[in-house]
Amino acid sequence: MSSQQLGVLLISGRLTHQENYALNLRADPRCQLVGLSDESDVPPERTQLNRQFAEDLDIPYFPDLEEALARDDVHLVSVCADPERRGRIAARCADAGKHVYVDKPMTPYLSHAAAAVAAIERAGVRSQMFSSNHQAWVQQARRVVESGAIGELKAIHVDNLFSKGPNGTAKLGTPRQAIYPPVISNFVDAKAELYAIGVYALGFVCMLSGRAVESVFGSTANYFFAEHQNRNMEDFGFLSLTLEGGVTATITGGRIGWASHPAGGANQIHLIGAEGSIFLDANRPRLEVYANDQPWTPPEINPRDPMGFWRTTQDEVNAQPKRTIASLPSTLESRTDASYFIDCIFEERESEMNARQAAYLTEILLAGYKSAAEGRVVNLPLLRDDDPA
Amino acid sequence: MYDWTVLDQTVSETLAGGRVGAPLFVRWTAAAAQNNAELKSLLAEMSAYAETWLSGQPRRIYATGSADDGHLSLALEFENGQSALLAITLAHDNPSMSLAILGARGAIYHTDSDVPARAENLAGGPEERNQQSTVLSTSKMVAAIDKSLFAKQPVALSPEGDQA
Repeated sequence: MSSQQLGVLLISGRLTHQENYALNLRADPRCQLVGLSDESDVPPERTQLNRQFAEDLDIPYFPDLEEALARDDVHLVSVCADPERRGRIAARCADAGKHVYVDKPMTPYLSHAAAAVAAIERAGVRSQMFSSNHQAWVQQARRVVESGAIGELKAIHVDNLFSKGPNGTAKLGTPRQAIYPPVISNFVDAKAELYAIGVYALGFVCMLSGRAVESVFGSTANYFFAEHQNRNMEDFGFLSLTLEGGVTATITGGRIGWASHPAGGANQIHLIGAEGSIFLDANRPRLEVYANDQPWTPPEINPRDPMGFWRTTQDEVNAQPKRTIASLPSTLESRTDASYFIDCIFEERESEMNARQAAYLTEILLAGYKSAAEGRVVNLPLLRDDDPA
Repeated sequence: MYDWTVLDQTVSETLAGGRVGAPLFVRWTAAAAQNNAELKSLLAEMSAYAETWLSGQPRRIYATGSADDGHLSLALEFENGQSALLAITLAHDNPSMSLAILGARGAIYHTDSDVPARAENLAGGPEERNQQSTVLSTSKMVAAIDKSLFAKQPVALSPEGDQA
């Protein structure tokens, strides 16, 4: 490793987003993967998945997390542990003096978020939660706002709806009875989708508006998957937000099924300004391609990943990409989220999606779940007594 | 002016065909108002269409935004569990709209930079009777929107569309 390279420790492996983050970090010439580790008390299945991923990458597996964090050749840790463990591990990494790259959302607990922020700021290390804020189409939205082309920003409407999973199995006909605190865990067949996907849309709203959220109205639903319903986790949700200065925002987040979109999903931003409005779509501009070849069909269901959460399990069932839409590349520079973070480290500046911002998004999400459960608007900040930890 | 009757007809026929399964969620954002004064009635009209497409009655609504500022949003939760998220803003001489209807087994999308003009209604015909019915329901919805905006809280509705 050269003096210009960062040594990267991975925490958690297969069947986590580490499958993607590790490859993006490895692709950056400023990074070198040093090894993979995790907490010592994780279930044997998790240890096995971690060891498998270390073998996939041809890097060592370190069974003792403390020893791994003590290594001098580790400068940055990519934390993809389960949602409940993420915040406390991020704090441990910072306490060890390592930069922290953490999966989204950073934690479902206010106290863990506060501890992670405190540890990171105390140690003076850099931090970033994964987001889609640096995708070219989102940066285009940012340029529109900053250019003043639509006048003062008045409202933002964002949809992040992923077309994955075998939909059509949920039992319909009655409103979902939301609970607070929500169930936030990664099961093999279900996640809390407003939490896991809605966080992207919230990241857009906060970045584009630059304003604090004052109040939240939330609603969650079980529209598509019996698996989510059986675990009392929503597959879909929306938030209606009031921001400082009377700006409003609405977001949707959810998993809507393989068949419900010609590409990866409905990912769009509608910006409303005092002098105009503009609609941006992750899949536009685009080519639409129709041919007499075999139509795309959903992949065979992998029992280890029936919803299509992970890359390796979808590779196992030979999942094929949809081919109807070919999005045109943006003229704006498109960077991976990981490379943006490496820039921040080398340029000694804070990421716009640092741990403090990640903690803020956790608070907005929890306010949304609380609103859905109580049927009323919830004002921010949340009382710390509301922490589900 | 705007005219969503053709859109409504095509959407309704598509939903009736059953390809996307039971309609569950309507996401509709429109930059279509000619002036601030018609924002609330337009939003209530969009709500009436959403009710038609979802074949249900909202049990609770929550409105945000400001007609004076030129933008309103409306969240609706329905008796049978469906929901809708609607937004209206000024056209600024460049009308546009984006509509998504999520069904249990598929989805309908419509994005257009052209919001068609409203045709003159024929006096005494079924269109007028439908319009009278719509006016009644939209007036109740406008009142509910006003109440939610004032209270900054959701408003429960009775099955008849009155504020509960």
